[in-house]
Formats: sequence, structure tokens, C-alpha cells
Amino acid sequence: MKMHKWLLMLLLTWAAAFSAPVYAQNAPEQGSTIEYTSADKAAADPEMADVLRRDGKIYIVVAVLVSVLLGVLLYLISLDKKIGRLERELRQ
Amino acid sequence: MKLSWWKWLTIVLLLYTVIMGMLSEVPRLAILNETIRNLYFHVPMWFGMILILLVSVVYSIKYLRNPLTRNDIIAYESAKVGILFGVLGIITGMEWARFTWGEFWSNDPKQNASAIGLLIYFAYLILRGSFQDHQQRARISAVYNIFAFAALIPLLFILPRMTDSLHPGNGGNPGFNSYDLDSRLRAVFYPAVIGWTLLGVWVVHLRTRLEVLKQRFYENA
Repeated sequence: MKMHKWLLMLLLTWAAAFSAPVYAQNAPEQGSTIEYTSADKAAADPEMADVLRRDGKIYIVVAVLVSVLLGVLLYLISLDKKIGRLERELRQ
Repeated sequence: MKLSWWKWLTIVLLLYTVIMGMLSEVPRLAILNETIRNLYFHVPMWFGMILILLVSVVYSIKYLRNPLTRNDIIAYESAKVGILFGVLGIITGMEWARFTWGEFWSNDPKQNASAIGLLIYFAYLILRGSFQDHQQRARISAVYNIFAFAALIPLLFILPRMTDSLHPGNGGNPGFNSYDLDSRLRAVFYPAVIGWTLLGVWVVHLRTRLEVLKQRFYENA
């Protein structure tokens, strides 16, 4: 039971860390695609949550890689727990 | 969560590798471009393979000195994980080579030698499968494992250096300083090597425990 709580907590923190900026990414796309002339750039450049769009969207790749890695690691952890439980059972 | 410290270390190092591997500054080189970041993923496969196969050969020697089933199991499971790392190394290397050297396989001395090395280890798996008797299998494959490791070292570290190779650090005798690894690369590369190797050790640890469980289960049944 304890392990499930831990897994759930890890999953939630992970989801919270990554979903918020990724949702922001789905919001208006104009900021990155429309080019403004330099004259009205200042006026037409409202502050946007475009951190994840910077640098050729490399941060999206990082988010994907981290998600895959965490998935594999969580699987390994659950396997570890299962084997541990079997070992305890056999010892009794 | 009750995980041993080294498993937490694995998780931290791998997350660091993936995040910093993508975001850190790297040297701007022609041809290589951003693929230089493969250094954090392709090369650690080979470092991990060598280290895990070293574990395997150590446990093979231990088995010959003291024939415990556990020693045989660890030798076998780590050989399998080492081979997995080697196969991943050769696949990632081919993908990288296609876009930097022009071809998936350009008969580079190190490519050929690592392919031969892997074939030697595939033969280890086949050899193991061809015995009925448990002790005979463990003893003969332990001896073969020592020869396989002894063949792998010249194949990967000596022969490619005797000729010209496309791999960096080959052709002539490179000291560690002449590697064109700058400090920015090292800061991610070394943690990456440790992280990927520990991941392999983790898998070996799990498979060994599972195999020990299986044996004890059949003993009791």
C-alpha cells in the first residue's frame, strides 16, 4: 500500500511539473509563427508563456525524454518491489 | 520509498543526463553539429557494456573458485545485460554514423571489431543453452566467459588503435588528455556513464533476485 501512495505522489508531481507548461504550449500559437515588422514589434509583443517554445522547441524534446525515462524507471521500481515481496513471502 | 541509495543515484544521474544532455552548451563543430550530444547516449552504452561484462567475468572466476549457483547466476545475467548494452551501442552507433560518416556501416576498424566481440558473446549464450547438466553448463561457460572477455579487450581497445579509424581517439596512442573532450562535455559525459552503467547493474540485480527466487521455488516444490 505504501508503495502505491509513493508512486501516486511521484506521478502527480511529475504531472504537475510538466502538464502546466505543456498546456500553455497549446494556447495561442501566433507568438512564434507570425513575424512582426520591427516598427510595431514592441506594441504587438505581449508577454506570453513561451519558455517551451524557445530554442527550436528543444524543451518539448526534453519533456518527452524525461517522461519516457521516468516511465521506464517507475516500471523498474515496481518490478523491484514485486520481487522484494516475493522474496519476503518465500522467506516465511 | 525504500530504495537503496544507488538506485536513487541512478534515477538522479539519468535525469541529469537527459536534461543537461539536451540543454547544456556543446562545442560547435562542423559535420557533427548537434549530434555531438550522442556522446551522452551512445558512448555510455559501450562503457556500461565493458563494466557490466567485467562484473560477469569476475563472477565467472568466482564460480570457478567457489561453485555457488549464485555466482553462476550473476555471471549469466550480467553477461546478458552487457550484450544488450552492446547491441544498443552498435545500433545507436550505426544511426549516428549514417549522418556523420555517410553510411550505416563503413567497415571502420572499431565497428568491425565490436561486431566480432558481440558475436563472441552471442556464442556464450548459445554455449550455455547446449548443456543439460547444470554444473557442467556453469563451469564450461565460466571458462568460455574468461576467454571472451580476454578477446574483447584487444578487439575494442588495441586493434582499432593500430590502424586508422573514424572513431576519435584511434590511430596512434591517445592519452586521456588528447581526447577532444572539453570540460563542458565531461560535465555531462561522466555522470552519463555512471548513470547508464548503474541502470544496467539495477537490471542485473533484479534478474539475479528473480532467478534465485525461481531456483528456490523449484527446490521447495
